[in-house]
Amino acid sequence: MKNFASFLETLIREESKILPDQAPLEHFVHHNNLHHFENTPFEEAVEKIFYTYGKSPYPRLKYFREHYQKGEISKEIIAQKLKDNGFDIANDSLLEFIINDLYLNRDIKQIKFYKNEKMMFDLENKKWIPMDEASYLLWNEIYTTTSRKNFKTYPDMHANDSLGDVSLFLIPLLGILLDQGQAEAQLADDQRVNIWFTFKQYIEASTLKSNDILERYLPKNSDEVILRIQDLMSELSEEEIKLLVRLELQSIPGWAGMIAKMAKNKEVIPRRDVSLTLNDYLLMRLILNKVLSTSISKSHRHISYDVLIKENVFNYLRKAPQDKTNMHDILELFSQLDRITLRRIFLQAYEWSYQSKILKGIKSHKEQNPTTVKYQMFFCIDDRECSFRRYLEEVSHGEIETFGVAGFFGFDIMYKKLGHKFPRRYCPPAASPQYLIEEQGESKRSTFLKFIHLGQSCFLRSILSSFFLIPWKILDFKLHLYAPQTKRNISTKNKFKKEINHITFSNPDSDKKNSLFLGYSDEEKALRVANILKGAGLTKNFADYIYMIGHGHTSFNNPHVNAYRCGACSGANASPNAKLFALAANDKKIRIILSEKHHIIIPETTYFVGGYHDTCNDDVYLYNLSSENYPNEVEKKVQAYIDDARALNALERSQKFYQTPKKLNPEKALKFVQERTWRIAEARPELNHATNSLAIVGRRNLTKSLFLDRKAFLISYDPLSDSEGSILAGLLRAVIPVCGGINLEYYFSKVDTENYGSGSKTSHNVAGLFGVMNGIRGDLRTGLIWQMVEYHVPLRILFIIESKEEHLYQIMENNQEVSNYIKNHWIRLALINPVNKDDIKMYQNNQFEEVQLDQVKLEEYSSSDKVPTSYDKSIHIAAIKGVI
Amino acid sequence: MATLYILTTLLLPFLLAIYQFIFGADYDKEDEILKANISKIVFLTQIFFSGYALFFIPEQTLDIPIIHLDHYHYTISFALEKRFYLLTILFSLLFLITEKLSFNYLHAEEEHSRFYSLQMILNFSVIAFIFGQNIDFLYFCWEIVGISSALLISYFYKRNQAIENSIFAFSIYRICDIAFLLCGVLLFYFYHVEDIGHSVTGTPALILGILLFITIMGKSGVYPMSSWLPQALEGPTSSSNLYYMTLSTHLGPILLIKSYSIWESSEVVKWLIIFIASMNIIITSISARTQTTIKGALGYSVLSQVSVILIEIALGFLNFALIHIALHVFHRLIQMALAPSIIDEHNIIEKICDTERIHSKKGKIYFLGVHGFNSEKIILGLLKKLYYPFSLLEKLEKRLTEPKDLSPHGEINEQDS
Repeated sequence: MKNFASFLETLIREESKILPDQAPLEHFVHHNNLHHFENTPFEEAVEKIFYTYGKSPYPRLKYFREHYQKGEISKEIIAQKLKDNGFDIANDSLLEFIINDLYLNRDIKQIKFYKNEKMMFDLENKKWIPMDEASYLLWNEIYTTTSRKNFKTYPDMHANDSLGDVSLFLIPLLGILLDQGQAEAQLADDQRVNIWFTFKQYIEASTLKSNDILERYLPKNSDEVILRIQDLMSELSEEEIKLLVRLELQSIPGWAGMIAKMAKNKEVIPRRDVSLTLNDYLLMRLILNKVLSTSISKSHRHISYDVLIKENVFNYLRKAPQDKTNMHDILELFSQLDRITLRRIFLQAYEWSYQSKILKGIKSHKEQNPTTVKYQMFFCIDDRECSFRRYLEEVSHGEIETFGVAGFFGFDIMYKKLGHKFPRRYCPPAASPQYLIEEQGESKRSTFLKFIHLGQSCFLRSILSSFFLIPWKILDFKLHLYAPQTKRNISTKNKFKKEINHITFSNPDSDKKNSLFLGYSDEEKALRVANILKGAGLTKNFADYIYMIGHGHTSFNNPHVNAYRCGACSGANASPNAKLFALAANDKKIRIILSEKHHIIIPETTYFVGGYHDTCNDDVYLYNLSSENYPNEVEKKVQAYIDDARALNALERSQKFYQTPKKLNPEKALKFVQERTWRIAEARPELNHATNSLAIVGRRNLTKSLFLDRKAFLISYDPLSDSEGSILAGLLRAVIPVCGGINLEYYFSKVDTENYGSGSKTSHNVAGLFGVMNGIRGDLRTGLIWQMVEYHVPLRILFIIESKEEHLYQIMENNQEVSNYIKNHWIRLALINPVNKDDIKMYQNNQFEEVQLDQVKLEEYSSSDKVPTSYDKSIHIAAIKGVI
Repeated sequence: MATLYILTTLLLPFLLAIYQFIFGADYDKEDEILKANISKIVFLTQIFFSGYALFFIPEQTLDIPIIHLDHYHYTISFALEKRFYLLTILFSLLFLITEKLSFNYLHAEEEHSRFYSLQMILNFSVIAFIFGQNIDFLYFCWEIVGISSALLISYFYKRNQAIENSIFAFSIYRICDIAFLLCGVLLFYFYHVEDIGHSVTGTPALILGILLFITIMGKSGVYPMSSWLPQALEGPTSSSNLYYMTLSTHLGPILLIKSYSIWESSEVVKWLIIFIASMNIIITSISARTQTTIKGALGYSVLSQVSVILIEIALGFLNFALIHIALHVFHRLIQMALAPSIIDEHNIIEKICDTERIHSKKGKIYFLGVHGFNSEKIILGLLKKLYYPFSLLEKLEKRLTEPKDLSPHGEINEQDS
């Protein structure tokens, strides 16, 4: 091989596409696990990855069949989707068999010949029965028929398998090289940079005997790494090298992915730098393979094979003997319709069963009469705000109008909290923040507190604290355990009210610190305010009081806490952004610029208030800035609306938990969710984005007083004020990757909890302050925990956009990412004509096609809290009557 | 009264455990709340009765005859002492807290009910161990603690790693249990008694003392048996981890306290304990400082403080050691329960003070610490030799039991997926 270096570089780049791209826990951002594959169609990509890496592409057949029994998937749609995929099945009994029984028994063979006994598995009674003569003859006939072979295999890679010796040996070393400050004794800086010296010392301290191999292959500096890899691979052919690299990188993918991420993105590791790269990691593994004289090989499994298919034909013909003459056709059909294909068809059928129901509902829903609006509230587009917004509108009888915009409110900042050492990103992952905002004030510092908090592993300190601190700590702990609410009140008293009271963010002179601006100029502020207002379609008819409410999450003892927070703020609590917006929009100078440059005239009486909504305990804080502009009676009235709404919201959320007490009223439900937040050991403080499956870009009127079961991202957009589609282009550029990413991460983590997701959180162990793993030497677990996705229904998200086709074609032409998402079906897309709601089009076969949807009568309820939902039952869409 | 006390505190969990093993296999929502409440009642009863006993039941040795034949009597004796009542209150409180923590944490986890049965068995064996006085009965309890700890370690039995570590821990227990068994046999051989409180002098004291120390090396994690504990932290963090981290490790010191009169007269044993425990303190505390995961750090640092307790016992401060056990158990319980919030904790530390962590310069010893001083390799080397015959048996069994399913024409089916 002439140019080994570039060959290896391409190879590693290709193979690292499949590695998890997750940042350290504090910077957790929802993203599409397969975002490197977005330029291929969804089905093709997930299936290709299944056949190369063994990660499940679709939910299991069992899962679909359970939902089919519940009536979530309709039989006609399955037949339709079978037809679309080239399996036209007219025979009803065959269709029934395919839906209910094909490949039913995953682990048990259907027929066994054991010690002269002929047994067959009875599908109806789920037990083995002896085979009668007729069945034996039938089986013989089927078995001797030759069929077209259609074998496919997939690698058997499971997170449950024990790790190899090399990985077990290497993980502690990776731990100390990547550690962000967990270990009491840290590796010195020069040792972290000089990886190969450290590696040598690490091996020497163990019992491994390796002198000659180390002497031969250990590189002296990082330039030699590729040469050494070439030495080690010199005897292998190109194909073998490809396979070897794949197996080595995939053996502990979590760690490999973290190494790649830390090498690429230095923003996520502010505490300590890491100089390890994937090349180094690969060489370490190769050397250790030599030292331990091991090699990895993974076995392959068959997806469908001759005997299995014949057994299924046998089962079918036992049920429907009249079809015996068609045996050849059925054999051919089943060998084409392997498990994965069947799962794909089920997924498509489930999606359309749900989505057509929603589209029909929206089409049949009658728009509400306009009401007098006194307050306007801006929320994040997050699906968890969907129900809160509905309740606000309900309890105020339409006095409150709500909007959904991306939760960072246009202010793309790096924000440094009071007392924190490092700033963190408060803007979407795709943005590149240019502005640094620091919270001003004095923070408490004391050595006594240091003494209390340290002492996990320091010997002397832990002895001292065993004797002197523990009696006090036991009381504290028991209070926390048995009265979490009281403890919460003591600990977080006024925490949010105090927070961010001092922000200076005006920076007319463009001062800089570490290449970041220390604030915005007036023009920049006005531009951001105008963008948000225009995007939401609010350029006139301003109410007197406008609230910007960011959202976040608090829970105790939860390493994944950032995964629950605002996605548009890269996993931070969005309160500073909301406050910045309110500060900027209240500024008189900025209002002048707004009216002159952006043609938005905000009346003088209008006043903006920042706020914060906690989606876990349903607390809402409003940051009141001045008492003269914001009279007391308004404050009281709005607070009353908010209190009613959040209690009702808590009640609705409580229905989805298993452990909900039976008789709940709104006040008790509020206490119940608040208590969950502060429990010491609670695996599900809230259910996060579980069951998200819709994103609606359009006017609120489209969905007002519709019950969507907290499944919809609601994005405000006024198609009538956007004749050229430029506002929509800006919205979709941000919204599709964010909502699509969240949805797809949930999809994959649910479909394959062990490989894409991170399994049950209960046994997780925090490693190096950046990740979690099982035990003290395991692979890093990335993706979502099982407790987050357990209720999730893995469907691709349906975007419903109020717009015209031309705009969408134009946007797709200009923006590659959006175009990939839509064209390759990583999301589903429906268009509603802004003028005529009956005109609905779906994007399929590379164009927008009109779909025929009947008018339906929606289920009606007098108010949202009357809708009967529970953890195992979902009302997808219903109308709420007579309140607004 | 004393008999009633012993019967309620021991039989209640024992019978419940058996009941749950037989009837409680299925997971059910209603079932879960009922089981949690029953466990709560058992632990509260233990606390209440022990509190009562503390004031109203005089210290005594209680003999309960089990088998009474013509020439053969078997009685189990229990030492009812105030310090043991206090210890029972403490441990039951620990069970109560852990039960409360687990209820929300393990909820809806697959086969959740197994946890309740194991918890009851562990409770029975630990409390019985505290009061037991016959060495054979103690051996029985000691074994059950070992088994239930190993089963709790492999709570997520579908992950191979958990099972491997569970077997590793259990193997270490087994190696050390041989010494306990030998100790019981020798005690009977020398003095024809089975009382753990028997006063022994001379050479027997030396032999029995050394055997007892070897016994506790396993569960209390004295080097080279030290690596099982950090590796065993595979179970649910705020739940079953707490049991084997706090209870199993502290039973060693309790055994030494109970058998103090056996080895009291031997200075050699005392110095041996002091020497080895001091070595262990150095080794495990270095390992604890180099661990990059929170559970690993906690695991090693528990072991280093247990060694301090061992030294206290060897120096003769028995009651002080008991107080230390009490405080230490709760210290680690709280730390382990709050382990997942280590990132928040770190942020708080960063806020209130500068976190300049020690940057190691002493290369070799640092890496030895990361490797846990290779204790795992030493034990695995030993185990390989011990278990070699068993692996042959396994192969034989595989050959005998593997089913051959053939298609009608004698071909072997392809592997199912």
